[in-house]
This record gives sequence, C-alpha cells and structure tokens, in this order.
Amino acid sequence: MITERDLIEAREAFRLLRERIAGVIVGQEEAVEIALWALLARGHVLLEGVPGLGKTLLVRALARALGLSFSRIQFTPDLMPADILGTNVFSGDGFRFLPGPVFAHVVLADEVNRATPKTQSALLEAMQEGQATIGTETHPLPNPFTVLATQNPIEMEGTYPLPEAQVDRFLFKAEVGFPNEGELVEIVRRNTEGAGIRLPEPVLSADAVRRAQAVVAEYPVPRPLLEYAAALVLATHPESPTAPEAVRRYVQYGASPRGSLALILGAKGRAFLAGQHHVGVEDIQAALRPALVHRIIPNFRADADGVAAGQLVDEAARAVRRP
Amino acid sequence: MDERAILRRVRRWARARNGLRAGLAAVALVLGATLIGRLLGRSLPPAVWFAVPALAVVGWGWPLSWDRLLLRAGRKLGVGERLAALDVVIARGASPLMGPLCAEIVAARPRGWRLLVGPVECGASALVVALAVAAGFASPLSSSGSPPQAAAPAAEVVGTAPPPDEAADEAAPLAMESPGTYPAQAEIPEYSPYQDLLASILGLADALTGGLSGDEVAARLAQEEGLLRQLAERIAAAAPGGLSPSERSELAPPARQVARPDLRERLIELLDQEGEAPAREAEEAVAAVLSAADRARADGEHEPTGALGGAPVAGAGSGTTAEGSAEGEGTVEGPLAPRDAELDGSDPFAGGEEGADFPGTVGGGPVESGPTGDWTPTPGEEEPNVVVGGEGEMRAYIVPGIPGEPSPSAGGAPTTLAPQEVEVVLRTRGIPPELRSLVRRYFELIGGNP
Repeated sequence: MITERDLIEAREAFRLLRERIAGVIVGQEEAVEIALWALLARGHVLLEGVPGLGKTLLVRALARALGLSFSRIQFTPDLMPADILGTNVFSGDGFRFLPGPVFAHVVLADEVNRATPKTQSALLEAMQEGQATIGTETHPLPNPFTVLATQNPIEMEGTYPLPEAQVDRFLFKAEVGFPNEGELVEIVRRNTEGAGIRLPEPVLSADAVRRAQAVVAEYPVPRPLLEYAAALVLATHPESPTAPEAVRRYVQYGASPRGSLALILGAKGRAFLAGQHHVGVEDIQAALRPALVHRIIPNFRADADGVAAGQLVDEAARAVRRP
Repeated sequence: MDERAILRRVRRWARARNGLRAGLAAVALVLGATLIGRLLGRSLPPAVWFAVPALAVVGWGWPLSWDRLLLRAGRKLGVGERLAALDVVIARGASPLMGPLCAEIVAARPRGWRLLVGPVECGASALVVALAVAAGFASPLSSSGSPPQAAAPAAEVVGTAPPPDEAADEAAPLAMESPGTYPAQAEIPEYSPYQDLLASILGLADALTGGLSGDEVAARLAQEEGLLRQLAERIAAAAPGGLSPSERSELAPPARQVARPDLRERLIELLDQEGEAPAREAEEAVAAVLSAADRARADGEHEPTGALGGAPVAGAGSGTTAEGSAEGEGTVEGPLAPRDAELDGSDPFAGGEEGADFPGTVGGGPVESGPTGDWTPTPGEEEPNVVVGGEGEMRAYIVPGIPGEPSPSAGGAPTTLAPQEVEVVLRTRGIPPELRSLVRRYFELIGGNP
C-alpha cells in the first residue's frame, strides 16, 4: 500500500539523485532524465551517440547513486549468450548456476550492435521477461532491473544492427549529443584536475526505487490523454487517415502499440520528476520523441531525402489535435 | 474541501454553461426568425419565446462528456488536468495522490463562473445582440408586408366605419410616418393613383395602408361604391315627396355604414328630418361623392399605373375633371362643402369660410386678421418656423403642413403627409396637373424637408 508519505519521500530522493548525477555528468540532462523515466517505468533505454560522450560514465554514476548493483557488458562479435546470462558449472556436489553479468539491477550493454543476433536475442529476451533460462532452470532477474544499451551510429562496419522487433523492446531511446563548449571545458577540468571524477554516493536503495516505481504507477491519466497517446501513435502509420503527408510519404512502418505504453509511462515519469501529482498533455508531448523515434521505420525515400525519424514524429504530433 | 464536492461544483457550473449556451442559441433562433418574419412582413406568435427557457432546460440536462469536460474545465479554471486526474483517482479509490491533488485545486481558487465565459458564449452573445439590433431595424421587403400597426384600420374599414374622432386618430400616425421624404420610386411597387384617389373620395384611404392586397382593396372600394349607389337610388326614388318614417328607418342602417365620416354624419342628420328638402340634400350629398368617384376613375383610366412621381398627367384629363365637377354637380352645402368646393376647381388658397373648416390649412382665415390673428401657441408648444420669402413674413397664413391636415392651432404638431396622401390631396383639391409638382415641392420646403 503506497501512502502519501512514500510519495513525498520518493520525490525527495529522486530530486537528490538528480543533483548528485549532475555533479558528475556534465550536460546530458535529457539522457539522464530519460534513463530515470525508464527506471521508474521498469523499462530499458537505448542510448545512441558517438564514442566518448560519457554514456558509460552516465550509467555508472546512475547505478552508483541509486545504490543498485551494476554490471557492464562490452558487446563484441564473439560474445556468447552464456557470457551474458551465466552458465551451469560442475562442482563437487553437482551442477551449480553461475549467474552472468545480466544479473544486476543496472546493466550497461555497451555497443550492443556489435554482438551477434544470437547474443543480442539472449539479452533482449531477458529484458523482456525479467528472467533468464539456462538449461531447464529459470532464474529471475533482480528487481529493479534496467538495461541501458549503447550503440554507435557510425562505424557500422562489422556490426549487427538491432532488428526492429528488438529495438521495440527498449522503452525509450535517448540520443546523446555532443557537449557544447562550456560543457566541454567543464568535462576537461573535472577529468584533469585532482583525482579525476568521483562517482556519487548512493542516495537510494533497491527498496526505495521499487516504492518510487509503485508511486509512479499510481499516477492518474485521464481517458482523453490516453486517447491522445493512441492518436499520436496512429498518426505515425502511413495508412492511417490521421497521418500527415510527411508520414505517408516517408514512413514504411509506424510505431507499435508499445509506443503508446511508452508515451504514457514516460509522461508519468516526467510528471513525477517534475513534482506534479497528475499527468498533463505537456508530459506526453515531452515523451513523444524518446518513446516513438526508434519505433518508426522510415522508407528509402526518407533516407534519400535526408528525413530523420525524429522529424516524422514531430510531423505526426502536429497532425493530432490536443485534447 | 471534499474531493467529490469539487467535482460536483464543476458539474453544476458545466450544466449551467450548457443551459446558457442552449438558451443563447434559442434566443438567436427566435431573433433570426423574427428578423426573417419582419422582412417578409409577418410576425411571430409570442409563444415562440417559450422556446428559450425550454431549450435552456434541455441544455442544462444534456448528458455531459465528463472526461473531456473536466479536462477543458480544469484548463479554464487554471488547474490544468488536475480535475480530470482527481476524477480518475476518485474512481480508483484510495490513492496517495488524492490529498495533494485536492490541495492544489483548492489553492488555485477556481472560480466556477469562468466556465460561463468563453469564445462560444461571447460569440453567441454577440450574435444575439446583432440579431436583436437587426430585427429592431428591419423593415418589410415589399409593400404587401406592412407593419402590424397599419393592419388594424383595414379591418375596421371592412366592417362598420369607425367614429370620426377615432378615424382621425388612426390617420394621424400615418401622416407622421414619412417625414417629408419621398421614398425612392422603386420602393413603391404597383402604385395606383386611381385607387388612392378613389379610396380617398370614398373615405377608405386607410384601406390602402392596411396590409390588404390590390384585389382586396379593389373589392372594398367596389363594395363601398355599391353601398353609396344603392343609397342614392333609394333616396332618389323617394325624394320627390320626401322620405316616409319607415323609409328613413330603413335607410338609417346603410347610412351608418358609409365609410366617409362627413358624408355619414350628414346622411344620419338628414335622415332624421322629415320633408323633401332633407331628402334632396341627402341625395345630392351622395351624388357628389359618386360623381367625384366617377371622375377619379376616369382620370385613372387615362393615366398609366406607375410609381409615385411619374410623368405628369395629361392636362386635358385633369382639367376636364375640375370643370365637370363645377358644371354637372354643383355645390353641396354643409360639411361636404369645402372638399367639394375644391373638387369643383375653386382655389383653396383663396380663403373664406370654406377654408376655415380645415383648421391650419392654407387660407385658414381672412387676410385681414393679421399675421398673428387666429393662431396663438399654447404653453410648451413650439411656434412654427417663420417663412420669409418674396412675399414677406407669412407665418399667419402658411404653416408647415398640407391643407386638410392637423395644424399647431388644432393641437397637433406641424405635420407632413405620406407621399401617397400628398398625391391624393393634390388631386382631390383639383390642382391643375401642370402645377402639382410645383405645389408638392412648395409644401416640401415649408415642411422643412428641402
């Protein structure tokens, strides 16, 4: 039973968490925000950005501040599923399960597109089910459990791009942008002065995170807002009557129903972090790009004309009337 | 405040808003119908206004789209989506968010009346005001759709003729309606000088302004003329030896039905008397009116039907009318005398006793009576404008108005006539055709409408 006290404490804890992370990570507020939405919604995030932007540091700082267990998996072409999930090893009294790195609260799947589809599938299945099956035994993953996968949009040689069905399992996608000059100076200063970057002290615990997740799940969403989210997803489908001209022209497949879920869950997380007690239209609109951008498959014409999926999401949003 | 009480208040205000919207829509509809009705010359029954409260009640009770209503109401009241969220939380049961949501809503101090003010309500109100103004200024598109106040005299003309005073009272507003400005010729469709003139002679001038159609007016004129001819024949048959008491009692009811007031009174008076002379006088009085009617009809047959102010009438026709009156019918004494004298072609501007019977008209008294002789303004009554022309100051003799109409000395304000009336007066006074436009213009100037 969630009480008003739980609400107040969770909100205060997450306010403190953001402060601590901001003390380590320079810039990247949006990526941090989206990662927290995913954590609160029991989802996973795909972080996309060129190397050296602090993606790994961000995840490590987040896990540390949350007071949760953290593991990092560097994906390579020769990585096997057992290297992620774990394996049964023989000891004196029989086989014993040796858990893999996926058995942590926060998992960083670095350069997830460099592993083979078989290995990717092993991770994505664990993400989806919240459990790992090795041999005949099923092992539940820790709770809370969140995967933050990164991928590099360049250097596509020798990679295995994630299939659309796999990408869809990430609740949000955050694009990690290049820091501006001021942020860059600050990054250099922090990394070159004294003992370098120090990870934040934990301000939460697994139990506190679970309570926060329960509080966020309680956030009420009026029916017109649910209908708005559904309309936004439908507007990304080229065959939909509400789809704008750009979507009809450049989109091959629109967002899946998971897109609607992501919109509402992201809106709830945003409302919670913003200190609100209700979900508003603005929260849904803010969650629009992170929730839908990786779920839209542009066609060849979009590639030829240089139209990005983000632009198409914006076009779809413009075509739907605010409730 | 209780969370359910918050939503109950919102529901009440929302219903009030719906009632207001429906009421405004009903008012706009009724006003629109009134406007159309006025343009077509018809009036709506007052009962249609009952539609306004009826529709307002229907609007008040109309089912609410509660989810969307809360969303919009919350924005209007400055609490965003909180009302809608509160509704969800209440439906769900206990929630840690209920208390904070209620506190936020109460802290925002929402004012329910704000729900009554929005673009829809303002637009509807503006529409209602515009329709009300338009309906107030609307005038009938055609002559057949006369205003309702003109319809009453027509009904009276068909039945028993009204008493003389009443008829004069009804005629006065008609004379004031067009303050000296002639409407454009195109606005007077199918004007018939013959019918106007005949109606004036027969005392049925009101029939033409009573909302009757052309055929109805013609039928009424024929009926009145038939009555007079019947009276004339019966009086003429008995006149050589005078009327017996039974004949007089038989003739009294039709005499009371005569429309022309002065003729009616004269007939009633003469039929009360025994002897040959009263019978002959009655015969001559009726004959004079019938003769004038015949001449008017003859004029009408020579003139094309057209708009007022059309081409001047041929001089020969009108001249014949004036002379015919003088030669054929002679003069009739009594109340009919002044009008008949004018029909005879005598100069109404010459003054004398006949002119004095028409108070306030030109020639209302002898010249010797002096500039301020007979007319003395009563307290509070404005003096008519002094007209100084080539003849000098003429206030004593000429006042703004038309001969035969009420004047300041008679207690009425200076008056002007409707264009049709002016035309009738110009014709019944026997003014020669070549002078009519000049005389009309003269009185327009005197009446202050250059």
